[in-house]
This record gives sequence, structure tokens and C-alpha cells, in this order.
Amino acid sequence: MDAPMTSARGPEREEASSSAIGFYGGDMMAKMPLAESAPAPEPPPPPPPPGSFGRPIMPPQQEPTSPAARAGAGAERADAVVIYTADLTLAVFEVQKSIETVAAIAKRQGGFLARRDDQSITIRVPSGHFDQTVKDLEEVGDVLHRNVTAEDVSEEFHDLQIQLRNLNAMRERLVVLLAKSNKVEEAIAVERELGRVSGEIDRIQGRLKFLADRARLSTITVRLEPRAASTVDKGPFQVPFPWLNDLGIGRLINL
Amino acid sequence: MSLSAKNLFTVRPFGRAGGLIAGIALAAWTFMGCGHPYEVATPTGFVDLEDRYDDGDEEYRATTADGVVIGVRAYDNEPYAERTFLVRAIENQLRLGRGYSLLASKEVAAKDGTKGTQLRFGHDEPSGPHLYILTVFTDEDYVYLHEAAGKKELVEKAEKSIDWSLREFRPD
Repeated sequence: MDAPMTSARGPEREEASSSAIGFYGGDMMAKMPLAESAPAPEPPPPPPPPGSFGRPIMPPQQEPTSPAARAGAGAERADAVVIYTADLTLAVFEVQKSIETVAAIAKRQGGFLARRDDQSITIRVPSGHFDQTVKDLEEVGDVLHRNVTAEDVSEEFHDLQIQLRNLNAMRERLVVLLAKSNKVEEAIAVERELGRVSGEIDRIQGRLKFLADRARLSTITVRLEPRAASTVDKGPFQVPFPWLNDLGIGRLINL
Repeated sequence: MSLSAKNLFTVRPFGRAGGLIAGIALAAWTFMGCGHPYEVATPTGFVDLEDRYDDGDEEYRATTADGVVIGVRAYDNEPYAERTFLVRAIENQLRLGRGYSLLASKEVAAKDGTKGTQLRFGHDEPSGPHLYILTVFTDEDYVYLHEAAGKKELVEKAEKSIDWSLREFRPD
């Protein structure tokens, strides 16, 4: 039986082809899911090839420095960083068994269980398998609520990479300065600045790692409700056969 | 001389009162033995509750000691509907309106070959997950409903008996 759809999906997008920064494994999905309440976005940038975080990939041209220049170049930028998340609420028979089914779907798609409790489960699957995973999950029960988002953090990611590059260069210069400093006061000042720069580098690396992880593995939270507690369609069309109202477990086993 | 209602009243082997009593007995046998427009057999492990639920809906009901219940009902097929139409109406009623999960659906046959559709539903009751197996047969006169329900693990254990009951079912 097809589960009744409580909300329609938006139009799906064609996959663009181009090289990009590779910081997460797997192929980017061909069709990008859209947020249910968001307006139709611009065509997505092309998918990145597989790669690993920490390996800087220089774009073919010099990085634009002004925001306008960056905006102009963004449309042609091939190194997109997109974070996919989904939030589903399903009406199911046997909640605990359905939670196990969701965990099995995550494993089948190359992902893992991130969190679970009595009535919800959060899984993480490679972004390339996000679309298929959501489709598989919708077969587990009747969809009461669906929220799918694709957050483009490319701008932030690339800005952070540029900052990191600059800070690394500054740190190298400070190390050289420290080696050359003859006076204690100079050395202390350089060390203080070195400490500040190192802290900034750590912070940016942490943020880059966080964004890369979120983009590499999409996050899907599934909340499960017993079907008895909810009806998918309040007031379906009633055909004129009164005996339909006498169907069901309660009447039969009530001896 | 053959035994018939007319002969009972005309022959009167035990006099006028005897003939009247015999006639009443024959009529009672006719109603009790032939009340259901179908034939059904009670599987091993179940107890036929007899006429307790035969309230005009031509209903049969049998139960195990653990509470797995089989029931058979027949309704006038009026207004006339095909089986596929009724199956769809049942799905809408139970799935969309009452929170039943449709777990499986298959075509089956009664003892005389009458085709039916079996729907297997799951439903979370306060005491735990339950199964509800509903099989629908139709002919020009009646809609026949063969039902079985109980706690999930108990229904699964009694499944062979339920299947046997279905195979022994025959619309008249």
C-alpha cells in the first residue's frame, strides 16, 4: 500500500558535473531534496569528488577577495559544501520494531546510528545516499510530517579555508621572528601573538572539520508514533455500508 | 411414506398434538441448522460459541482459551458491490480512519473455489501489538467476512488453524 502523502515534494534538480573540493566520501546525490517550506533554490553547484578533509585543493584561479567578486565567482564555483538534514514523523505498527528497521536501513546505506530513545532515532548516512535513505524510511510507516533541508555552507567553508591559509602563513612568519628576536620583551610579544594565532588556527580547523563532517554525513531524525494514537487521514470518505463500522479487533475479541 | 411437513400434519402418528409438536420441531430444525448462509468448521483448539452472537447478522464465532477469536459474518450484498470495491473500502476504513497497518494482502479461495481477498492488519492495542486477519468473499447475494484476531504472537501460533478454518469455509 502506498502511504498517503501529507505534503508534496518540490521539484528535483539535475546533477551538475564538475570537480570540486573533496572532503566527504561517496557521490553526491543526483537529485537534491528541498526544504518543505523553503522557496525553490537556484540550481545547485556541481558535486564534489570523493576526498579527505585536510587536503587543500586550490581552485584554478586566484581567490577573489571582494564580496562582489566572490559572489560572481560563486555561481561558477565547483566546490560546493552542502549539509543535508531530514526530520520525519511516521505512524507505524510496533514502534520498537520500526526503530530496529530504521537502524538497519542506516547500516544498509553505509551509515550508522547516532542516537535513539523509545520513540525516535537519529541516523547518519553518507550524503550521496541521503535521497534513497529518505525514500526507504518513508516505506516504514505513514508519513505524518516531513522536513528536508539542504544548507549550503560553501561560502563559510571557503572563507574559513582562506583564513586558515593566511593564519598558517602568519604563524610561519612569527616563528621566524621569534627565532630572530634578541630582546626578551620582543620574544614575549611574538610568543603572545603566536599563541593567539595558534588558537585562532585551532578554532578554524575545528569549525572546518565540523562542517566537513556534517556535509559528508547527512543527519536524519525519525520520530515514530503508534498508528493507533494517530490517524493518517481524519475522516476518510465513507461509503454507504454500515457493516464497515463493525470491522476491527475490538468488536471481534470482545466476547 | 416420506417424512415431510405435509405428511406430519396429515399422518399424525401420535394424534393431533403429536403432529403439531413434530411440525414445530421440524421448523425449529430448519432454522437452527440452516441459519448461516455459509458452512464453517471449527478448528482444533477453538470452541464454537454457537448462537451466542447470531443476532440476525448470520454470525459465527469461535475462540481459543488464550483469546484468539475467529468470526464469520454475512451481510446482504445490497447495494451490490464487487469484491475489489469492498476491499478498497475496507482498506480506507481501517488504514486511514482507524490507524490499522496493512501488513500484507493476498488472494485466497474458499472450499468451493469462491475467490476471496485476505488482508492482514496490525494494530497496537493497550495490551500490545495485535493482528487482524480479514478475508472477504462476495457473491450476488452476500458479502462474507471471515475474521481472525488476537495478540500478535498468539495469532501467529494459531495461523495454521486460522488457515484451515478459511479453507473449510464455504458460501452456500
